[in-house]
Amino acid sequence: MKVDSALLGPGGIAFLCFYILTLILIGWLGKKARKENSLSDFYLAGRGMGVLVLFLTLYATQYSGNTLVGFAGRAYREGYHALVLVTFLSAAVGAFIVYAPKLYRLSKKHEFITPADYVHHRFGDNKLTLFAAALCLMALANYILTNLKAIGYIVVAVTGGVIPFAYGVIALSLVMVIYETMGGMRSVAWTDALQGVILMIGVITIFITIQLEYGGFEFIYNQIQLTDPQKFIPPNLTQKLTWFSTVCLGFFGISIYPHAVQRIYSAKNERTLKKSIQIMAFMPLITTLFMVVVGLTALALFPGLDRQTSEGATLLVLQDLGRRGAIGAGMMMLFLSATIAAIMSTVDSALLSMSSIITKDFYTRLKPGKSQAELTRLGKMLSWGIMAFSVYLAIVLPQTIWRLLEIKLELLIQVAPAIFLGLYFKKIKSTSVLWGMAIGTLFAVGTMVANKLGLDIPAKPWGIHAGVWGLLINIGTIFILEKIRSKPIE
Amino acid sequence: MTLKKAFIISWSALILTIPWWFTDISGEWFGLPGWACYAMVSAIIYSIILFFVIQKSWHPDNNES
Repeated sequence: MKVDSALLGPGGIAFLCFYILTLILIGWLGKKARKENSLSDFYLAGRGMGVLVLFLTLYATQYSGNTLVGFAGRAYREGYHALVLVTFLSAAVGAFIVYAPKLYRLSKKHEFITPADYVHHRFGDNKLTLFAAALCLMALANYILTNLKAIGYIVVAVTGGVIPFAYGVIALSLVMVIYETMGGMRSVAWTDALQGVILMIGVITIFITIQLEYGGFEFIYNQIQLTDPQKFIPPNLTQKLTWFSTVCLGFFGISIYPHAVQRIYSAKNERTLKKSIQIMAFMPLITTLFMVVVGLTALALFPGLDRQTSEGATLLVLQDLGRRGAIGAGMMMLFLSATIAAIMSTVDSALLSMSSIITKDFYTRLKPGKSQAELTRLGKMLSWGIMAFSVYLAIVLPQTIWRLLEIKLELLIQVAPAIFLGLYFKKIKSTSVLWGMAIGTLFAVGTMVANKLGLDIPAKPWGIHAGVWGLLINIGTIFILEKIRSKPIE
Repeated sequence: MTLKKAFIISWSALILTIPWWFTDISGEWFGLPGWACYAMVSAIIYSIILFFVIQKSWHPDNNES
């Protein structure tokens, strides 16, 4: 993101600092509301989340800084093809229909904390459980790192470089880890609720302002027709397959993000969960779709930007609105607060989830018999350790390594068969699922890494993501092994 | 509504959100290229379908606290 001068004046920056410090106060309130010193209380808020908080934390967690900044940039570059992003996030809600009711009931009965707890309960295989937990960890680590990097760029843009990238990352990470370790999921969910409201208001306001100021779709259409009519061409067959593959990634990947699964476990009751998920079905329309429109507006206003500059499409539109007098400093502050809120709410949730996976899935299996208080203390220490390491990596990691880290959903969707098939196919055994997961992961990672290293292997063979091919191979392996296993020995 | 039916309806709707049958540049529909208008409207319809499928297929346990 390239910005020449500070996006906010001293007053705006002071307000932003006040807002960020408020999050620590909310974290402290979360600590005060603690009912017991247990993993369930720390990581799942005592399984007592009501509709409003549950919906807002699901919303704030699912929509990261990438939605507000990255999606608009993508819409700028891809034009109307970026509409796939709307169904990409809706598909995740569609997946909840399949697994959430059954998994919620099981989690209540068997007191699951992490997604791998279910895998262990269903298959009773340590190797499979640890493999699934490791894949979840890798996906979460990626999520934290990319969002920390984004937060550094935002701080530089907001202050015009007065606060350097590294200081911005360190300061905001410190705030997140403080409130997270104070009250665990309760603090995270309450801060998410505030951040979710800011995010929603920010996105809706910018969308409405654009409609009023420029004229909406009609304006975009006419401008693009003059400057870049190629954007009107519908997707060809390969692009349609990529569209399909993208919604598959949303369905099998986004829906089983560990922090999303843990929010399902955290619901007060089933009715609460059902209502929250029903509202979530509409969120892609008022968040993703609106940000795609922002990106298209940027394309209509500023054609011909290179890839790096187009990443700042949202800020360019905001600056233009400011120049035209359509928005004041308050609106700019609101949107930047929304962006920071989106990033922080995602990072804190992923951090909490990572700490729970290491504590519950790895540590307790290697060293059983520890008390709940000891495990909770360990989880808090882990949060500090993970955050410190992530901040270090976000600051020093070279760009070439970052390209490899982009592999995220491709890995996570390999866990999906263990959950989806595990819930509905009672006869499937752990060995088949483990082999499926291993072969699927190997294929996806091998293809992606080979592509990133510059070998002549496409990342999306025939338009389908390597991870989705991996998932098909994963499921295929499971069914073949099950078929062989069920054949009577003659 | 059974879960199987819910799954079939939601997946069919999801697949139909992809603008499969558009091959050429179509005219302007409500300020959008025809295929993009289709993609946007079908995404809206998909959200509505999800809402109703959840409503009809998910029956929470009434005895729960």
